[in-house]
Amino acid sequence: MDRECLWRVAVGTVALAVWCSEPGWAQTRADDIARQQEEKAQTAKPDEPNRGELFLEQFEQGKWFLGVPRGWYPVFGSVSSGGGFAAGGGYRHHIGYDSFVDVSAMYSIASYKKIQITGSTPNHVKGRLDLSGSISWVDLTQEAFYGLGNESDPGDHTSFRVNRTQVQGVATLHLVDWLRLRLDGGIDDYAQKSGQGPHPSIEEVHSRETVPLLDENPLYLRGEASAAIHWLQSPGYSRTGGLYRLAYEEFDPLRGDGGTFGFARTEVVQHLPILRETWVLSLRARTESIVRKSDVVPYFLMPWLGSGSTLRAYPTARFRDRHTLLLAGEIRWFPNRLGLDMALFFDAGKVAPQRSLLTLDGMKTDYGIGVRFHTPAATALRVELAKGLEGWRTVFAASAPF
Amino acid sequence: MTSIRHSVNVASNVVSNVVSIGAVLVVAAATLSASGRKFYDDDPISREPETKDASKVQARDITLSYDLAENLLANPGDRRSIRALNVNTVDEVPDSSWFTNRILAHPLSIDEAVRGPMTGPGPAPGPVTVTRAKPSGVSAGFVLRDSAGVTWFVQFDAPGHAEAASGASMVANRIFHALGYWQSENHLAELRPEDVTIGAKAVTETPSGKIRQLDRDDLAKLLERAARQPNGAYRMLASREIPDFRGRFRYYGTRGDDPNDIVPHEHRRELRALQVFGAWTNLVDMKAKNTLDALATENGLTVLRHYLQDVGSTFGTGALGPREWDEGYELLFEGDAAWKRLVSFGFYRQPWQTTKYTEYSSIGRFEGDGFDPTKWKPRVPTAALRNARADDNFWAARRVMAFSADMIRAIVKAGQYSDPAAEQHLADVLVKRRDRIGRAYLTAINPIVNVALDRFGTVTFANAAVDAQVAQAPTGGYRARWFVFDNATGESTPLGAPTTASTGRMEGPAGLPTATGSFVRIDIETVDPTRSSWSVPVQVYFKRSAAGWALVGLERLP
Repeated sequence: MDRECLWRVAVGTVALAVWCSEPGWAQTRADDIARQQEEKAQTAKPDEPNRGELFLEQFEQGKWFLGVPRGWYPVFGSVSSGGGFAAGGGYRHHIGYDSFVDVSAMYSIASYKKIQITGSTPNHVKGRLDLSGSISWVDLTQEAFYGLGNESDPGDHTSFRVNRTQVQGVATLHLVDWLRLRLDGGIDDYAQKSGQGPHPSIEEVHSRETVPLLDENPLYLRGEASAAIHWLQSPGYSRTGGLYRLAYEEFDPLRGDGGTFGFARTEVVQHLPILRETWVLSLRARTESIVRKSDVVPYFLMPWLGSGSTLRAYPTARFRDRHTLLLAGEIRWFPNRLGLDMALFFDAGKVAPQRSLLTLDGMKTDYGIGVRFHTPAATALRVELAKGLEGWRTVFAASAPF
Repeated sequence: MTSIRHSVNVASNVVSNVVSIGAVLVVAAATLSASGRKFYDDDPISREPETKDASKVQARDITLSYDLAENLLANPGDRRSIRALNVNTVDEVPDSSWFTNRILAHPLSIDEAVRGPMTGPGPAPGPVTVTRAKPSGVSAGFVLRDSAGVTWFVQFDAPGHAEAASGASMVANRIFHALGYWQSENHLAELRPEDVTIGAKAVTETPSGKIRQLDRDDLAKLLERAARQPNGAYRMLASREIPDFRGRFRYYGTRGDDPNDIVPHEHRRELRALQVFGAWTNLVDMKAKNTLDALATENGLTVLRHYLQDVGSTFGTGALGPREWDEGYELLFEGDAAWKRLVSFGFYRQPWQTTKYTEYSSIGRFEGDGFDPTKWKPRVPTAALRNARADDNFWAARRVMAFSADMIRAIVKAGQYSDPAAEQHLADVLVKRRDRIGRAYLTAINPIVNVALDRFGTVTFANAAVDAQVAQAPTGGYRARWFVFDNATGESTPLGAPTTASTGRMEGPAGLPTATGSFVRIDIETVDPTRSSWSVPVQVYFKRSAAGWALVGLERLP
């Protein structure tokens, strides 16, 4: 064995001895595991949430303006049906346990505007009584008017603009969980102006002879009483339960030519689950009638049909008259119970100058298909394609149709 | 100059030699540890060593929505289909801060099973002090301190569903403890509002987000969400506080700050086995939020102990009422099913639509006749559940089958259901589902168990499926191939001709080694043409000692 060979053996022996003395050369299973734990201990550090988890954590904590508003917050929605998408901002100041004062303003793509100051103090009398009050001003710049009656022509589309300043107080009494009584009263001040938008303004086409109280700026003392029996899962999203509601609202003029008039409203909604909610049959019937002196009701306060939640294939307020009847039915099915519903729907509605004419003859109808994305308690997005006697219409909404 | 050059050359040679020899040694060592030295002297280990101090582990919570979304949509963790990494060489789970072998591994009396994790009688009688509002969950509850100064997390049944959530938690708590999981100490107790005082530091969050002192109105509001007994009291589930809370664990990966946590959770058998245990008990809510990590001292060392803290979403009820119809049958989101339902207008039929239930308000929707454990699903899958293999399910099914009907009925009594018919129903369904689990999983893989080799070379074993009466004895009996095994090289040398037997007893071939420290390997195949999976042999390894042959290895699946 030459020197070089001896040298190599010596180095190898030393290296082997060093290697075997290292923790990597475990004699037992326990040693092997201990070595791995020792290695991890050298670099152990707490896990850090990634950006996705941080975002969802803030989402759960009510940040990103998704919880109860506190301080400044953004507002999205609509000022009025047919007024287009609106956005704005608000500020909420909380008082006590769950009372608050809120100021908000919105502006829509159709130049609709709304400013509102609200005070709310719920859960009095052991949680049975909610009280609230508000002062609001809205500017509805291009409300639709097609003439009165069920056979109005879609080509007679005119627009009107109305400003309403309202002082309102509301008391809601929950006698039991399924019975709600509501008293709502205040002062409504209306001012009419020429309609905006692509359609002629109402006064260019109509006169006071054909349109009641055109150009009038009435001021009303208003009051409403309603009672509702309800056992819906949630007002914003339900698969079972029902809502039976009766309401009477009266307007007493404080200014202008009109007399006292009122509205009687009835509504029945029933959700009927089939085969363990494989399908849900949802039914709705609604009537709205002017009572007492129907000839002193301004045209812009008359009941109407047509919108994403009434006759869905027709534009907002397509049909307007003193009495309305709406029937709607949906068969819903649930690709995913967590958040996706589908629906086939059918709507039928009629307006009439007299209640006795609210028959099933000559109803305006539509049908269609819809998809809804929802949470357990609210409908986040509803997209529907509806076909009526006047063609197709697409509905985008952030609420259940009923 | 010459000497300098010579020194440089010598140094260069030394480096060269060390590198080359070192490389050989690394390869040799790797060969030895990976394939040569299959068994260490201490195999099979019965306890997973935890050698490092974990006191620096920080409390961390896991965001619920992220956890759900990640597990539903992102499929996290290592998805390789490999054997569980925390099993010992005989395919068993050693005791650890995750798991303690109880039923099956040791004789477990009915009394022990019923006692579960209890260490005392529950909240001390007398006045209690509410110390804070319930930190999470949908059911009504709060944290209180009893007259003995012990802190309890309490929750109540929902109105109209008295005894449901609390009873399920009590029963499931005992079952999962017997199965081997760390459980909180749960008791049923009665709360009388007049016994409650509100602690000075008890606060609640208002709807506006303000934190303020809890008052009696808040307490009254909270109790409005609880089922009240005819005597005016409230039945409450009281869970003893687990001190030194350190957050939750995920069902994949390891905790970065726990030095002892070296096995990815998706490869821990006891977490994979929750696919079977979950199916048995209908534990649909297996989110990370329902786990709990806490510091504990073991043998003088601070380690992190891992609890299945909330197993109350079991059987047929949730916190607020009966289960959704599809729970246990379908994940919260399944793209394929959603698409089929969408395009079929809902006519895509599924079993949950027609399963028949005998409903009790205290039990909910829980049945055994239509139960198919292989089709069972939690609300949200976990990485560990997705990785469960046939050997994991077999391991779990043996534990389920170890619960006798009498033990199940005794455990169900812990739920203190006032309706004997409801109690009977729950126990009956658990027995039925137990048997279906046995039929599904004990038969899905070669069910050879309890293998022993006596000093004279006779191997004995049992057939877990046959013993559980979920399968007939194999028509072709058993066939074994014998090998002399070299633990240093990993080589197996055939020994004699294969042997056969019609029962679980077989004479070995002549020539078995007799030297202490020698190894033999036996591949045992169960021969039944109707069960092809049984033909995959179970490989068992024995090591010779002065006392005879000791089982050191068992591999049910490669």
